[in-house]
Amino acid sequence: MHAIVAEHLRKEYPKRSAQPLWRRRGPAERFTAVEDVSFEVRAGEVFGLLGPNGAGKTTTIRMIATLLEPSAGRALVAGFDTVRQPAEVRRRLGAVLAGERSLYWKLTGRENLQYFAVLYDVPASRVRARVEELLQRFDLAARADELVERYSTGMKQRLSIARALLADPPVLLLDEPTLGLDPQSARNLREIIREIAAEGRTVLLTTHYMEEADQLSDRIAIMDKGRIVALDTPERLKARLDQEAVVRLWLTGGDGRLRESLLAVPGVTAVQVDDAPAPDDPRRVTVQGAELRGALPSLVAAAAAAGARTDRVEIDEPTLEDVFLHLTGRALRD
Amino acid sequence: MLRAVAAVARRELVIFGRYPSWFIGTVIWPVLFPAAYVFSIRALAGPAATPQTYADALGVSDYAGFLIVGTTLWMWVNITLWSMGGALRQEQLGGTLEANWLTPAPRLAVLAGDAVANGAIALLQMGVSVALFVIVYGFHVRSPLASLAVLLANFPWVYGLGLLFASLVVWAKEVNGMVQLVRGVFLVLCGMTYPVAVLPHWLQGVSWVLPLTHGIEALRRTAVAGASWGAVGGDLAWLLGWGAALLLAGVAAFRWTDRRMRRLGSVGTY
Amino acid sequence: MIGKWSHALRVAGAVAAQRWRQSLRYPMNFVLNGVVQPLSWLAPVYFLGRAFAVDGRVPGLAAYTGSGDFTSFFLSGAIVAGLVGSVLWGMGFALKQQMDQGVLEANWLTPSSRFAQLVGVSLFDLTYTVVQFAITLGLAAALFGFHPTGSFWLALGFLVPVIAGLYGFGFALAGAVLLMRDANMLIDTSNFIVNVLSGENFPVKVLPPALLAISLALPTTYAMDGLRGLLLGTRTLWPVTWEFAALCVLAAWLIVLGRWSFLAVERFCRRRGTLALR
Repeated sequence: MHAIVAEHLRKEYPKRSAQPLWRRRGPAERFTAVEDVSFEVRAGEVFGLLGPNGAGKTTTIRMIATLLEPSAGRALVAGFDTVRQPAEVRRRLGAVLAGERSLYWKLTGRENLQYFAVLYDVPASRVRARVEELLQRFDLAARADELVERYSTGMKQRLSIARALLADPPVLLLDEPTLGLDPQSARNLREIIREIAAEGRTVLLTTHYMEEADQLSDRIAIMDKGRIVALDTPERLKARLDQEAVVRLWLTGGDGRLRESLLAVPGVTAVQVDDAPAPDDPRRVTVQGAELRGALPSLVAAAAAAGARTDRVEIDEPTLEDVFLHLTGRALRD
Repeated sequence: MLRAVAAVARRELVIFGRYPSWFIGTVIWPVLFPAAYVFSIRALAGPAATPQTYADALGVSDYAGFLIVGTTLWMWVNITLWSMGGALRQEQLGGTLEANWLTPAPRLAVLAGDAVANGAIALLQMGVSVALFVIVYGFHVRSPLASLAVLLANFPWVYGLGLLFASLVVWAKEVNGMVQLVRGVFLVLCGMTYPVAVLPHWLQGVSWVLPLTHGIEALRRTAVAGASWGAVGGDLAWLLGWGAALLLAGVAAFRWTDRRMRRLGSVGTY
Repeated sequence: MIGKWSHALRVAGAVAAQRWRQSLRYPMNFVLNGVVQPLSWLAPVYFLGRAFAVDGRVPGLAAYTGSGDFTSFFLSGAIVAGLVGSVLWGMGFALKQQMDQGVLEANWLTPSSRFAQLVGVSLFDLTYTVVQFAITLGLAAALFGFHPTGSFWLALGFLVPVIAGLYGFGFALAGAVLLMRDANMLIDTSNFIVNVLSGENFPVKVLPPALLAISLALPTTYAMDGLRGLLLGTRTLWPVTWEFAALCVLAAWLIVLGRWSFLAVERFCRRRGTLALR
């Protein structure tokens, strides 16, 4: 049986109107956040939803978490329907959605866990031991009796994950788990997620960090504008782009015509121009297409035509970011 | 279910104790608030006042007791509306509401725990208040058992109203206007500081519909005038009737809000 | 110095303009919070007065003050109480808002004077509350009846020094808000205590001696008492000119004291580094 099943999920909201209620005319306009999203997550798998902000990842994960009802389609967790059997779903689910703000700041770390243990229906005789175990595991024991308001962002995030694991759920949902963390804390957290997955739990996570999805996920669904545009293992997704399909140019200078000029080179299908780290530094430009090795002189010439000097040229391994560019024509981080 | 209620109540009590301002709310305000009117009554009665002067105007000669009953009950309703409505909204804004909603615990149990905690805090505060009233105003509770019965008969309607507010607030996102309106109506009409008989005739009709009017009247008759609880049976029935209606309305409003939030997705966002 | 103040006034003007715009966009709020609420707070004491009234006048009150016209007595108390409320809320709350939005440090890093900022913001706040209050008072007069027998304009002059004194108190309160953070409770409580002790709804003669002593140290007590003497011809504690002098001295003293305590708290916060915290 699949741990999570999404079938043709769709979610639309009425558009928020600035007009007061009595001045609105006609039916409210609707805005579709998620459209026809289907996927299946196997038990024990780490499944990533990757996409830019506003792609519909969070709406999707909230429908699976029973916080939102789909407008159409359905979602199952461990075989239970999220709309008709929400309590059964919640029994099998740990979730970290809103991050640090979802804890009681005026309670200590230990009190937070003890409180939620009751709500997650951990047997009364087990609460104390379970909380202690999780505090130890997530390196919070030393400060367990301090108010959460004094915790760092990383500690709060670890406490949220500990809370999600209180009832020892088979399925874990993580919405942008490393958002707002410093690089060191983010690395630690990814290590924790890997350990959780190694225990045989199913993990569904959303992220807009390409490396995070790549490192953690067994399979990835790339989302854009509410739809899934590709779904596969990271390796196979990257293999969709041929070798020699990605060329990176480091260019200094250049004007507004740069992108158009490169796109005009025969064989080129997509171009992404990064910002320069400093005004006079070279900036990275990614060019995608077919059999670009032969086109290298034309690319350099096209760059020169737009006023840019080529400092370096590489034929590179495709990354997930290149896959996203290939599929949507846009950069992931936009 | 009961475990969840107890856990939520415990959480609220612990958090309550951690805000230093609880002291002001528990000790200062209950004494301070009636003081303003105690001095007004003394001024209105004049320098030559006798117990009969007060009895003629208010119906009882213990004017401090008369006031304390009114202000204490009104403040209780006021605080309950603010705290139950405001607390849920705070949790919604902060994100803890969503964390509670993600657990398999019944959502109504979480809300009931809130009400239990608020009720326990209120009882505790009233206990402290009565002790302070004895010291500061020489207050003397005449029929303690009947008074307690009257007080308890107020709980269903007060917390039913609190539940109703909590549900409406999550949906309407604005608590101030509604609380101001309801507490204003109670302030003006329910005889907090005066006998209802001084209201213009048509307003008296409105006043006697409201539960707080009966709550104040019944408690004045038992605690201040010393009546037994047989004398306030009509008021008690009225209070319990309102209690049943408001509790049902509160639960219905909560169910409706809960569904609406799942459709529009505003458990966490705002 | 002039530059600092003019800059602060420009900032305050912008704040006030935006407050007016906001409130006019939500007229219901303006009416509910600004008019209905203060009006409803007159009801408990007005009906209490009616319980003691004989033919619309209260003999007991007349025995204390020389006038049995209880509605006018309460309404003139409400005029001063309204001023107290608007200065204290304007001051404490403006500060609290800046703390909540995290802009307090940024504002204080600018070269304009901190007092100029505090006064400026709440001064324009005052224009807002004065308009609200005038509407309320008009309605209250229509509903309950207001019958001043003396000079209205002379009475208004009486209020100028009391506003200055309230700013002194406001400085101290702003300091307390910096320390305690729970601004609502603090402002609400001190606002209420000041109004009660100044005799908003009774002549201060009925206070027990210990409270009367505190009452006589507040400029607002003389403002209420003198205002009633001028408007209603009540017997005042002292001759009205003496009361005016007392009012001015106390107001000046409060400004010095308030400024000093605010600066002390601010230095303390700077040492502890708790200004930016919420």
